[in-house]
Amino acid sequence: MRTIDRIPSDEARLSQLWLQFKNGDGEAFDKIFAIRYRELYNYATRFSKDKELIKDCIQDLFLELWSHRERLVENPYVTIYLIKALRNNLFRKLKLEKRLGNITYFEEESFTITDGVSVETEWIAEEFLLENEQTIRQAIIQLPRRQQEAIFLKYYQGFSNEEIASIMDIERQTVANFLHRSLSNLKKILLSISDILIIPLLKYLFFPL
Amino acid sequence: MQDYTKYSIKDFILDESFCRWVIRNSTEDTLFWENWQKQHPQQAKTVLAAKELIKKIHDAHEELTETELKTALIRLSKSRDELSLHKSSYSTAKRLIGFAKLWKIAATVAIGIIALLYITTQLSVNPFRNSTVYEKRIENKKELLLEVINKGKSEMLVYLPDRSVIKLRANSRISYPKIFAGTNREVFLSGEAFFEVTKDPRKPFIVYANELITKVLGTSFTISSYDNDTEVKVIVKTGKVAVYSSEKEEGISTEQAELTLTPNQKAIFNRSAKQIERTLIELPDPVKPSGIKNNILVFENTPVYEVLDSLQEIYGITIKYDRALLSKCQLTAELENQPLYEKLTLICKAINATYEIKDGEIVINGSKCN
Repeated sequence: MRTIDRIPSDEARLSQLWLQFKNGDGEAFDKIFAIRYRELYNYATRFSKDKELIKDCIQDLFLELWSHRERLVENPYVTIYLIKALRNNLFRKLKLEKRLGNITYFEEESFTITDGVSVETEWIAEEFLLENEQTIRQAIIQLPRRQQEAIFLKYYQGFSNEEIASIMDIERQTVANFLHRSLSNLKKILLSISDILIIPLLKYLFFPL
Repeated sequence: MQDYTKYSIKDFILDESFCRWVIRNSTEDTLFWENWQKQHPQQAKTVLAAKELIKKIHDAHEELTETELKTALIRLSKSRDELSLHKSSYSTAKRLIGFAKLWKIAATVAIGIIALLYITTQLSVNPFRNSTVYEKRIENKKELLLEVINKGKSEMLVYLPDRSVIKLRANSRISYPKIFAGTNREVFLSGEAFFEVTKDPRKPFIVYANELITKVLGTSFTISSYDNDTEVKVIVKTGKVAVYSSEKEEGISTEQAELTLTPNQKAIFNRSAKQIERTLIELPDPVKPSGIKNNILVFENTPVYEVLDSLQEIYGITIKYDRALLSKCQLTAELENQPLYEKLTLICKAINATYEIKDGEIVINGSKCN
């Protein structure tokens, strides 16, 4: 009877709240909002820097859900359901390409940092213990949009590649490729903006891994 | 299983289980990774760096302040109230049986022939259209019931007002009141479901499944009662439940008293013969751990009754035998993870006996050993 716990532990609570909300329970509805608002908001910042637009977009989404509650599915994977719905609305509002067109593919593929660091270097333990959150934040926003999205879903939400594939509407293997490439890019960017570039290199000599 | 000993920082960061552990911290992953770290101290530095980086990437995505969150909540609550004021007329739940019934009557009266055609066509495609025992029961119920229908292929979780949880299997439906107001907690099932009932000795939990009624105080069990099946089955996982047929409830038949079921027992109600039979499930599960490493039971010249007694305890199933007759029978064997019935076959072979399942118990028929 034991299943592998892939789904976050509060998901069971969410599906219970969802059922109550579908039956017209406003308090349950507010609770769903309170539990997931932060994640939805942070997710949306991957698509737009306009904070007010994002806030409006989430409000609209929830009011839409409330007025159509009787027609909603009975028992969705609530978190993914909300993220997908918000994603749809954002794409509509910002008039973004939804599927991978040729142009966007080209943009992602040709993305390189032109600072001379072209060979893929191995991640070194010490250098990341020195990086602070601010530098990493700076580096992430320099990534192509789709890579940012994949990174967010993976390392902020903790979704599996399978789940990310379903949200981004792409193949699982493409997700793996995205993540792989994003991490390589991230490393290159970090090296280029880091003013302590020399220290990790020295450390590498003394603490070879 | 991956060979994590050769993993680099990047490999760890890309690993699904590793990520789940750092971000979601579920017990299963934590258990695995903590254990793994202990066994592979040489990878400690790499693991630490990968973990740290994931955490930093995670934190770098935080954009919202606590005040902003609160403001958003108040805003939503307000707009929702305004919305509800305008539309209060249809704010009740959709799946109310009373409502559905009313609609059915209205439709039949108003558009007689068309409705008749509709029902006939629906009958062939939709098994739920037939007026079943289930439908008759909920129609006779005065109070409004909520209904959950699982038309999908996978299990669906249903949470009841008393915090009992039901796993509703495919093609099944269940009805229950919004609050359990009466002296009993009554739910109605068509199809199959697993129940985990919250303990409440003052309010028995009663499941009506076609002609079979199951009454419990707090336990877990499965009921299988599809409308087209010829049998209704109840399988107990933990605790104790009582089953009886609806004929007994209505006082039509007093022949069959209620049956009590314990774990690994199963009741089968034959719908045409209207008989309840008590037996065992196909693969009985141990109800308590054997307390022995790797579940291997080793017996060396052990009196066979001791073996049978320990099986009885492990599976929570009564095993009947003639103790005087088998007193000299001994057994030397290693019993591993094979199912209970295989174990019994082995034992019986060794002492030249047979076994049968009778009324939810196991009976050993043997002869004297030298």
